[in-house]
Amino acid sequence: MKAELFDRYVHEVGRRLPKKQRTDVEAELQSLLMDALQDRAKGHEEEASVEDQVAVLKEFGSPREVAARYAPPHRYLIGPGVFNIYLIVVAATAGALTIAYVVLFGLTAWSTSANAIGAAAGELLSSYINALLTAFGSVTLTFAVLERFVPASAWEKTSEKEWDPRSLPPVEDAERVERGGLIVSSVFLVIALVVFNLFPDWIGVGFVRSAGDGVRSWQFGPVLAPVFFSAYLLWLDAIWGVQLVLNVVLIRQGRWQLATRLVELALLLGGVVLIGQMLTGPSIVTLASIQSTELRDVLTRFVPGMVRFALLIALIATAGEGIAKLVRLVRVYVFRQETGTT
Amino acid sequence: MTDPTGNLISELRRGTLVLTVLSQLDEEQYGYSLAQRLADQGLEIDQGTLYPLLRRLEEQGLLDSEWSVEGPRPRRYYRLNDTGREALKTLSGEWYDLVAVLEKLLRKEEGDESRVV
Repeated sequence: MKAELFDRYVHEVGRRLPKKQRTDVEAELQSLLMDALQDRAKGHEEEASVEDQVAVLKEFGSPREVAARYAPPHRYLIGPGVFNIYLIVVAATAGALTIAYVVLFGLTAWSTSANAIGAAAGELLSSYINALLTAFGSVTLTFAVLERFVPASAWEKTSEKEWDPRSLPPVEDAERVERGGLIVSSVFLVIALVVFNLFPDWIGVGFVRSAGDGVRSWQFGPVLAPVFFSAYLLWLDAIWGVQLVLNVVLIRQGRWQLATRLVELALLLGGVVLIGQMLTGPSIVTLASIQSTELRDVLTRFVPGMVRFALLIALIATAGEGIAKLVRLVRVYVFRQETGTT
Repeated sequence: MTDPTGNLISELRRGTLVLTVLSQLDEEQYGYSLAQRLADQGLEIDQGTLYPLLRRLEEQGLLDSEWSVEGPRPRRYYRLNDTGREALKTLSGEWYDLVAVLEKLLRKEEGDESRVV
């Protein structure tokens, strides 16, 4: 007896429940729905109709009502009903600010003399961080006020009276591979492999230089230090190469499996180790190729620091992603298998 | 507009729900079998209310539960534990006291009405 509507219903209830009770309640609900369906479709269990499923689900009540009974509503700063919208607004605001500051930086670089670029960039960076924090705070405050004064039911798309089990959204398959994202990621990996191995001189610092007569010229100097090539490039190639192979396998298979998840985890771990070594070892950048001593002095003041800062952010992000994936792996492949059989 | 009497009846029944459920769990039951058992005795309880209630009673320490894989599908069975049995005894005592008082009150009401009529 297959009851696809039940899967969608159970998923809709489950996603409204706290994580710690979700899997167990989902398993029980699925079992109870099947009991009710079996009873309703006595004599023709094997071909219980969609109408039978709809009738059973209407008896149970809408996912929102049922979830609320399993987990009485908590007070949230920003509740689950609006959290997705909140994330979109935060991301859109941060994106718009970033674009605005990149444009602003371009204009500043164009209109500032070469030896003042460092100071101007520092000022802009500090103003950018301030703007990001202010925007984040304002958006959060606005949503918190909405959460406090707008009833949660206002965010529901349909009223409970109109609830029709047939309108339940399909269950997202968490293990399904997003091919588009993987193709884009593979293209970038190939570009990175080609540039870092064949054209490493393309990676450097570009700047506009004003000559004494007011003529501006674009100058560029490669920055990767010899230690980058002798100590790290081989490992970077290995990580990117395996990632590329993994992408190809995933695109062909269409779904994540335990083996591919483990390879992904190993790659993240490799990334953490490599970034950690770059961060603690000798600097991977050198400004020796910049001819102007004056400019080199200015750049030396902030470029190595910025690179280390970027590496630190990358380290935190990679480690965070690795931990999240590990927790997910344990939950899906260890915890879920135990549920229902204990 | 909703029928006010209907709401009052639902509210009255809701108040007896915990006692009703506890009274049936001296032997273990899974959610659907409990709903059927109550329905067979004339008490239809909304399933979307009953199953979460079982969970809450378990969280409050009145019921124990365990999954069983015997039968056509895995099922979660609930049963009263010692705390639940104590709670059932106390609630039952309260119930009988309440019924006695209410009977007196209601008879008096009926008596007043018959006098008026």
